Amino acid sequence: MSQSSRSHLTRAIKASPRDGAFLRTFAATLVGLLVALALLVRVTDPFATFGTGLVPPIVSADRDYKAALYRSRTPPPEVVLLGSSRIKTLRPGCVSALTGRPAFNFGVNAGVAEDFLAIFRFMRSQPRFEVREILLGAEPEAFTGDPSLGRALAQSRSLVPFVSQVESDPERLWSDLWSQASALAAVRSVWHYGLDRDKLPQEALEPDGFQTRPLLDDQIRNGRFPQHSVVLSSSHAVRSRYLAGARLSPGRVAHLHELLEEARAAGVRVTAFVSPVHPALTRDAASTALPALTRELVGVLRSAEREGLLHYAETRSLSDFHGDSTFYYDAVHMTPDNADRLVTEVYNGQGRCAVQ
Amino acid sequence: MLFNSYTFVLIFLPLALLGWWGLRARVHRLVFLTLVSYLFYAWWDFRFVPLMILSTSADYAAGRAIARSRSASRRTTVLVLLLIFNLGILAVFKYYDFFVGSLEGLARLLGYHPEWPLLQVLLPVGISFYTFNSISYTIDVYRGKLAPARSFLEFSAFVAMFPHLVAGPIVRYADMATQFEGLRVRPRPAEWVTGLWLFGLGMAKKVLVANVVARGLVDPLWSQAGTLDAAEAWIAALGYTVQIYFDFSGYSDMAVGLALLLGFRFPQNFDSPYRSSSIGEFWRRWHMSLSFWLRDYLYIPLGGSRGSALLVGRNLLLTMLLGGLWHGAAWTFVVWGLYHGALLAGNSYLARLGWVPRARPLAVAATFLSVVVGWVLFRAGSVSEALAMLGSMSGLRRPEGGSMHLVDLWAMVLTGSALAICFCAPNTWQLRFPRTRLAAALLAALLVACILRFAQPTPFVYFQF
Repeated sequence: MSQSSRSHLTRAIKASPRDGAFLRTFAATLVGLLVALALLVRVTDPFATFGTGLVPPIVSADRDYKAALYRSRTPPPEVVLLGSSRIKTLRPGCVSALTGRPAFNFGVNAGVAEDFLAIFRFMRSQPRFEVREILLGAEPEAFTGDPSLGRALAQSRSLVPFVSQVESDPERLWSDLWSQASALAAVRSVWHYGLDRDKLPQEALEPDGFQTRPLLDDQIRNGRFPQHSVVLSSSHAVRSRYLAGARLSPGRVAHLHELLEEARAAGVRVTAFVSPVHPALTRDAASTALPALTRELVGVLRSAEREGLLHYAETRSLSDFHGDSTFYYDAVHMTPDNADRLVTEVYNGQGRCAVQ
Repeated sequence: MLFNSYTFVLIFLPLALLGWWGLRARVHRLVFLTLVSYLFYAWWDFRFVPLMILSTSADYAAGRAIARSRSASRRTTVLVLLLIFNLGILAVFKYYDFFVGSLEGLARLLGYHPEWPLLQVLLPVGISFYTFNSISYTIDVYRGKLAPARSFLEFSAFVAMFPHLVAGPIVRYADMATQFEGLRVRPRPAEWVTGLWLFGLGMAKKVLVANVVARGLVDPLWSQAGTLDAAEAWIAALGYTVQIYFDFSGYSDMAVGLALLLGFRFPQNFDSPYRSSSIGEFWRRWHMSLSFWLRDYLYIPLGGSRGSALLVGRNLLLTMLLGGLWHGAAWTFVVWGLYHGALLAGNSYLARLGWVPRARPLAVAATFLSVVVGWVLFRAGSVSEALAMLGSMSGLRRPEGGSMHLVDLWAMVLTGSALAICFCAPNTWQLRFPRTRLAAALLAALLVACILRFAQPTPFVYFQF
């Protein structure tokens, strides 16, 4: 710490005749790039944030997209399917055929209890709320973990205001347009739907929220789908989530009760079932926490049934609804063939699913 | 509000510049600058704006009182009262809980179990910076080196000025008084060009280097601090060495750039510190505005380099102990300050004996290693964590390791490249910024690349001080 050192230094700045051109070019490039990026993201809407709808979303941020689809349904849905990605292949058309009511699939990726609550409140907030029945596909993963996280939900502009503990981020307005993730996804969108159009998409959503998997369906039709290896590898991945001992999260179970109470107050009947997993996963995960968690979840649902809050339908095993182990995309996601059978069973096998 | 946020770059800054350069009357401009700076601060927590106004008012009033008084004792009394007031604010908000908690810990060791009340108040962002800005003003007026501020408005604009408000550089009123006096009404394009370069490069240092290294290397490894083997601990320490330099020097570059956009000149705060060949040189190149503040208002009044080696050593230890405490109320900062004080004292003593390394590369390497060891103390959450890391780095502890899978390869590459830049490339103050159209377009693209990474806001390391 020498006393002879300089205390303050300021930079010498010399004027140049090129300064004006530099500033104009800087401003034009900055504004031009930001506007171009915003337009690209807005038009391609890769995370289904804006509801532009010109290009189907290529990533799994489906909450806002489904909210936009729900708003646009005419007539308004009277039966709504709630759950995670595992129920996204349940056909609303099948439900309508069985019930005679317009249906909508509001299953969302990685859906958890607070998602279901937020979706219900979102639907209630809409000007035309005609929902009379909810079909809730429950699974242990939707009721474990920390209820304060809700990351996917926190990113949903349409749903986040309906769950108090998930705070909205004011910077979201900007990050929707100018984030590395949205820019890269927009470029991928353009690539996929503009330059690589012939390739079938992995996923697509129908206007009633029903999810199709065109690429896999095509492979299945042509006998090129390696179902056995896919089921085994995904089974291994899912099994690892249950290796640590776990209990259902009291917070998330509380969210479920909130949903049930609010549904009852609104005169909405709730039918719950546990989404069945592939028998390979049932075997693989026999020594993990999965069986105990599933039993605990069923206990919660049956207890709610005794309180008159819901009707529970037993669908844990394929034999419960005449399911077929070959009708799976992977260890947890059924194809629509199994899903139709499940829906038919939920409605006590009455009637017949007309859509095939 | 963070510099690296959408709100700041896309809304606040353009509006602030429009208002500042759009207004013509001096009073209107100063009012505007003060108010937008308060808004900038209030964005974080509006409850602490009155505290800053109170501190500003006290310093302004004290400066006037000292300048008006012809009685030396009265002047000294006012200065002492002002110092008590300013340091009292710091003591309450920053140090009270630390000292009480430490005393409680000591009492427990002696078998007592007191339960003294803790305040548990939120630490106002940047309180250490604006308090030091203000204190230097009053002391300079007391010393007769500076005339008191001409108006409260001018002084409050100086204290609150958003480019330096929350993380420096520590700007002295002595440097700003003439600039406030000669406020220009038209911007100089040359200043804007340099300001934009400094802002853009500073942003890139923060967002594209420091944040990436922090997320991909430093945070994952430090989260396993107790279990790192020697190589992992060194990588973690070197990663933090890169992170803190690029973070803080990036912030300083941005602050200087923003000041230029407003037509003000701020002092340089970093001058390639890792190239220093002695610890004394390091402190003349690292956080220069703090080093010079400590030198002028603490070290020299204590006696400076005059006197015996013992006295000089005491002065250095005390100065750096307080410098460490300035950074934060924690034992790690106390130890870090003492460590640097001891290094400076040892360096000073060896220099007196003429025992300094002749080969500069050797001296630079030794200084750099000493600094890296210091950063371990600075980064650690506790002294025991620091000791565990240092134990691993020295080979005294031999944990199993196995945490490298947590490290992002790109962050590793970036850390190596950034270290090479620290040692080999000119710093932002040495660069001659190109002024071609292509350079302008590239700079704009660089800023957009940074903006795209704002979605994950990361505060600056020095905000906590």
